Amino acid sequence: MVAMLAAAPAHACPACFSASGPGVLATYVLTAGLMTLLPLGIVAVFAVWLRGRARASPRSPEPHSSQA
Amino acid sequence: MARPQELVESGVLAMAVFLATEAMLFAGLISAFLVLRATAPVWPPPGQPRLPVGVTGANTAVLLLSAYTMHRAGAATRGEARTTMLRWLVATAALGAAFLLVQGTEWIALVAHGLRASSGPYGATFYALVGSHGLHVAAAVVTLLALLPRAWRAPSAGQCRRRVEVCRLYWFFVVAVWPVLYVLVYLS
Repeated sequence: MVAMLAAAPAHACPACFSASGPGVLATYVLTAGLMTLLPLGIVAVFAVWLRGRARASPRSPEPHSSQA
Repeated sequence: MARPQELVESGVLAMAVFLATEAMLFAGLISAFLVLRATAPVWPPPGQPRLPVGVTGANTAVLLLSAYTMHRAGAATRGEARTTMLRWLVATAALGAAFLLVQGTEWIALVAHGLRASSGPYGATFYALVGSHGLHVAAAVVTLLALLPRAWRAPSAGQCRRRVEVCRLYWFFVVAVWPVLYVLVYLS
């Protein structure tokens, strides 16, 4: 994301190169950000959800220790 | 040897992974819509019919109401009577079908007024976005209708809890996506 925002404009990308104005370029950045951050957001939400489930679930009993 | 307790039921986990892929599908479609819209000199293009904002707004309320009925159906699997759960499931399916009926009627009118998928980026993105969502609602309604006979035969509402939970997740996703599409396509 930092590299994407630092490059002004990213001439390697034909879509950004052909951007006809600041509005179009902003849309490219917005959509690239959306497609980049959404999977990370999904993974983060999933991790938080799993953590919540793990905390809410009753703990399984400790395994019996071997007695001498 | 005792089986370890599941942190997440396998059906729920599978649906969560599936919904993650669905979220990426809609993110891609929305991105394409935004780019095409930004690159168009005028949006909506002149000569294209205007979208029915009011009727679709009312239809949005119908879909949001279906999320409530689905929530009640899910809650009914935790101790309430089977008939209560069935009532909420039938209400949810009916609201989903009503949403599709109104959408279908709208599309027929729009096609009659010249808005087709082949009539340019405006029509193509409209039918790609709204059509994809419509297909998802149709799949949700069909899944719910397939669940109803099982729920009818089940001895108690609790027996259907897992299946209803999976359906509920999918339904909530379909409902949550629609307001975003409505604002983007119809209002902005």
